[in-house]
Amino acid sequence: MHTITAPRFLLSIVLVSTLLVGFGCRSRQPILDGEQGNGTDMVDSISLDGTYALAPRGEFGQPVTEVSFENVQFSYDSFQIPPIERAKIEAVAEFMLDNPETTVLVDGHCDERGSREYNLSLGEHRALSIRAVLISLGVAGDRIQTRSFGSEQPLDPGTGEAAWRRNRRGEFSLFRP
Amino acid sequence: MIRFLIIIICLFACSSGFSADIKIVGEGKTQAVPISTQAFHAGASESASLFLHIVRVNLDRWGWFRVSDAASASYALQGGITISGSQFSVDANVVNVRTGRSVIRQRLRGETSELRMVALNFVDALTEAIHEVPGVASTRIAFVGALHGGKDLFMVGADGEAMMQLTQDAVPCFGPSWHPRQDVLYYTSFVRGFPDIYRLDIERGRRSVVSRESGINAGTSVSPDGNRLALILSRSGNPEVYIRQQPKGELTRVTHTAHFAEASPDWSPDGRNLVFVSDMQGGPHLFVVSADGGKPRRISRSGSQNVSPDWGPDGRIIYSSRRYGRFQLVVYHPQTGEEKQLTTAPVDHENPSWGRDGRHVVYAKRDGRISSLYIMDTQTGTEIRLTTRAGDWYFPAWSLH
Repeated sequence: MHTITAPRFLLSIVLVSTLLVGFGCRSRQPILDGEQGNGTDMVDSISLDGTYALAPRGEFGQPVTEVSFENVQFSYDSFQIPPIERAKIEAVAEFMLDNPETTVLVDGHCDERGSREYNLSLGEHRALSIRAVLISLGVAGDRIQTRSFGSEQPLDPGTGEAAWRRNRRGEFSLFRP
Repeated sequence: MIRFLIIIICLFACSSGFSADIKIVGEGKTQAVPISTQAFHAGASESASLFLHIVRVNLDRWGWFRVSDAASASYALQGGITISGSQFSVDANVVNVRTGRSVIRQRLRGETSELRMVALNFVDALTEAIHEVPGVASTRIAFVGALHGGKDLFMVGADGEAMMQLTQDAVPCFGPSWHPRQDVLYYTSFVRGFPDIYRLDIERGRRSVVSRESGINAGTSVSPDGNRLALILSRSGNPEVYIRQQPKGELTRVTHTAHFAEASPDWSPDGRNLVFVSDMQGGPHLFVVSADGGKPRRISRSGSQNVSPDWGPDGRIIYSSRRYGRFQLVVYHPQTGEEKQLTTAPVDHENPSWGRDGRHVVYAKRDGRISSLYIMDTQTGTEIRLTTRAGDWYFPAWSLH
């Protein structure tokens, strides 16, 4: 029914180890079917409760390389933008208002502590907080996408407050068509 | 797993063979029933002795029985197994020593390659016959693992055998959730660069996209009837709990917490309520809400953070509660409001998942950066290490079938 298109999607049975008595650890790569369930649902566009609904994910285009922006840092278990961090978002907004063809992807990250699943939500909430500030500064919401990595991609692999502080962050990636 | 066996099962339900002192189901203490296997003829072949070995190990492993000598046994396994080429033939008969009556008898034939599953299914059938609880010996545990840094989905038998790698993406993935009756997992993966929800059909080796809305698509939990998914979406501009009808995809929003984040929904056994994590009252804590919506009710009181709830088959909720700086396992009883802390060791106990017997839980024990999976008997507090391979193993999800 579905055509296998690439060798890496082949069903492969690989003996990874036979540490387990009598039984190996088999391994196989599932075939990825065509997309389903995407793009058929209407995205809410009205923000009755003060949130800004996300626009559908589009193509991101080419990365903007002539300028880079500092990461926004967060307090532990918080999605609030510390006042001292706001200027970093204002710099992004200024650039985007000067360069109306650009779009931004805001990545939210957490430190390693706590539930990975809650951190995925918290990281998204951090990215959305940054997005809300960008919108309040005049950047159209459909130019801003968010992505949370939770605690999966620490900048600093160390443990301890110094590492954790660096890892609680929002990152900006800018694109133009 | 499809079992390619031709199975002839003869069940002799025993009406009067139960010992009077056995208490049934999850919460109380269950006496391990002594059972002897000395009268079972396994012969000298490797497959035959492996069968008996697996039966004995799993009788001892799950707390419902203990293998004893014939003199002190309440039950005796009789019959035997014969091997002929790649074929086996088993006659397994368990007799109540006092009454002489058979409580269960299975006559099975098939390929020797299926003997492990035959042995595990027999132990579960015996557990059901004597304790009226579905055993977990034949069930499986899906989890996330990092073998060489990249993360993928894995699966292992509850007996610790037959570990299998299910994906080869080496990208962050989250929270596998079993379909209640099918060999299907729902989980969140970054395989296409964003946290999207996928459905993985283990038997057919096929994966399809379930939800890839803007923002996060995470926290999937399949309803007990298999027809609905609870999940977390941030499409509204904030992470919220939603219910998605399967397979049509109709979405209902359950929570409305514009300025707070939700995570990790899980269904009550009757499919009417959801427990989930929210920071709407400061820090992540547990709330229960009707699947039809309405006002969420906070259920976790102690602990600075309460995360990763799993609503068990007997109605009790297990979760990780941060106490004195470490995540400990806590069981909450919605009817009485009582909570009981199960662990105290100074390490993190995360992502607990109930077995279908309502007695055992599997969880990730993290010491420093590395997690291993353990199974705990919540009646005795006994822990068994499930993952013995080196690696980082977490997000265990115990199958109900």
